[in-house]
Amino acid sequence: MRNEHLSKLSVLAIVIVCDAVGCGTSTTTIPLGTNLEQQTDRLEHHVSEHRPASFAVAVEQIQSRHNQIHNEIQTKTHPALDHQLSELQDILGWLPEIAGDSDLRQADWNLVKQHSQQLANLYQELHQKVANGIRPEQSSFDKMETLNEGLRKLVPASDRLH
Amino acid sequence: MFETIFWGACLRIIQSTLQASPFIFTGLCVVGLLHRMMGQKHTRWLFGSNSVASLFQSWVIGMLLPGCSLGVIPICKQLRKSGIAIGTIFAFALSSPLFDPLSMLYGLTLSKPITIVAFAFCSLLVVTISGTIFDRLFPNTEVQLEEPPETPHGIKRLLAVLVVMARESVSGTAGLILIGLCGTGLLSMLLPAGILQRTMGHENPYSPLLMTAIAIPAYATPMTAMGQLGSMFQHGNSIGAAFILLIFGAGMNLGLIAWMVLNYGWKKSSIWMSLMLFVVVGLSYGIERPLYPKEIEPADHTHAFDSYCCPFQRDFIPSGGYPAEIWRRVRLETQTHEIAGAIFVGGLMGLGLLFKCLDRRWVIESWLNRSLQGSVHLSRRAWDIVVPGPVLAGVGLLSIVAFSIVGCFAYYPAPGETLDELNLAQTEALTAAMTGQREHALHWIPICEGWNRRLQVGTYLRRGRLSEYHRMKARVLGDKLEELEHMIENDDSPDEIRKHIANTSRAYGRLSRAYREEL
Repeated sequence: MRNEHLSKLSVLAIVIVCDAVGCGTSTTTIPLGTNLEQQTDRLEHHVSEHRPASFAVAVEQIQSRHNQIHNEIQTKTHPALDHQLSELQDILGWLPEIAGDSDLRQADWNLVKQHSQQLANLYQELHQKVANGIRPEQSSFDKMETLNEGLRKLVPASDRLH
Repeated sequence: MFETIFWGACLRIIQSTLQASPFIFTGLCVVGLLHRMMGQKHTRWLFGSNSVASLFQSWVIGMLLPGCSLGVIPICKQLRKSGIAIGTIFAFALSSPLFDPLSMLYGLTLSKPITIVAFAFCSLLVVTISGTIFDRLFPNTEVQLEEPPETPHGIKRLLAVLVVMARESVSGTAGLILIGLCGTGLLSMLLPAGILQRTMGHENPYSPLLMTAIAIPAYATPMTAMGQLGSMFQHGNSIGAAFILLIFGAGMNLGLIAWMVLNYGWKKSSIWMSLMLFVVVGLSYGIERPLYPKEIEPADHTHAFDSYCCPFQRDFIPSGGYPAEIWRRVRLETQTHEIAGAIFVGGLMGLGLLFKCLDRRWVIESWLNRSLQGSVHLSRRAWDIVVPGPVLAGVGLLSIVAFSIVGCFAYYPAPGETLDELNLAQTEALTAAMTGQREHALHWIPICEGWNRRLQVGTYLRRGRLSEYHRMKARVLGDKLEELEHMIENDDSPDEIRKHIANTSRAYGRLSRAYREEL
């Protein structure tokens, strides 16, 4: 009886080993046994080139990109804004995290989060309108300007302590 | 090369043993209560058997009781002795190691708590679907064993619980637990250090399958698995693979599989495993897209699975030799509750071996089960009532649950206290990074990350909520610490490291201010 159990266990162990080795070699992006130094070299998180370094830079970028977009819409009949709007949306998405890495207090940070969400929604609407060949209303730009102004006012507080 | 693999496996087995000790002790306590207090009849009533309701009952009990996949082995044995059907036993065996109050709280403070709730619901689906199909296929799996003689009430009944625990700790259970622990050694022998760092990507369709192969022999406590899940979410890894890690990594191990095969044979065990694999892998592919956090920018790597690989780099030879290095790491990493668990389990094993030696001359159970009638005068005061065993067992089980909830407050201290600990840890880490003490810095950074997580859970536990602002402050510090870790591992220039240390220190200052002044 004990021998029977032992033989069952050894077969089980072999199956598991084969399972682990087989799947390991067939599905990992790094095959077992490759040089570890090559694989572990430069472990880092990808940081997009257009990610601003600080809250002040982010607010400045939002404003300048907003001005560019506004300009393009006013001067061109069919403005190509996909790339610009996509990058602007990225910056707005990062803004709460960038503001989190600043000296902004809770109430101000909440305001940044709220403003960035509202701006992201407005730019999305604007994107849809431009894509459908509809000219965006001036009131949308006014709202964006007000929100951008709100963000600008928070810049001094973002680097208060240093 | 051989030395690295051998000593690496030794370290992994020792680490897993220490992590499992408190849960194995809890499992033995539950066995003692079920065996001597609850009895077979009431155990069957508590867990149910051979019905969908019993699967749900077992899942709920499993979720409440703190346990790990090694700690449930003695409980499964006891449930089988109590005449409970396989489906119900497996439902408990799978759900108990997945969550406990400590890990659940930890999970709820992760960036998307809904994912953890969804995982818990999916685990219920897994046990219900697999258990129902299995119980239909094999309806008569309840074992009928004779109820052991009742121990008279009083101190003897309490001693009887201790005797059961001691005997169980040196029974076949110890062998099964050892098989489970060997799984971690086996994995570390097969997987060189860091080999899994660039796997489990969200876009890789094979991630859940690869995770299945790794998670089954792996051993993870609920907290370890939850920490790994958190890291996977943070790095934008595959959600399906994360689910499999929780179900198979935390819920299963080689010892548990060995127990199934030994008690129910190859056929039933294979069918159960096939059912489980089918349901779990199917669900993992189903939840991959809906639960994936879209706001996360996926990293090209993860450290979540480093603990399943060999702990030593191939060419690494410690200056004081491998045994000294193992001792150093164990001393540094082992937590107080793990030491306490190991001492209790060791004590029980010593007692169990003593009983085994004594059995040749004197069996303690025959003395314990001897009736007190005649030797004790029967006149008792009105308040001296005999509490029935099942009531005591129920109170005992509830006490374990209550103790684990109280334990949450100890493990996750108040924010002020946690910040003091975090301050000490970050000073150690940053000073070491500044002075080029690579190993010391790499040791302290994960400790900082741990306190950073505990800060959030401790706050959530005491206030019932954690604002997005406070989560963000902790996330910023966590990211900075991880980046610093990479810079040290990548041997970046001292100037860059120094600059990043200043940023990390500022992030800590802001976090501290937010949690001390703005809660």
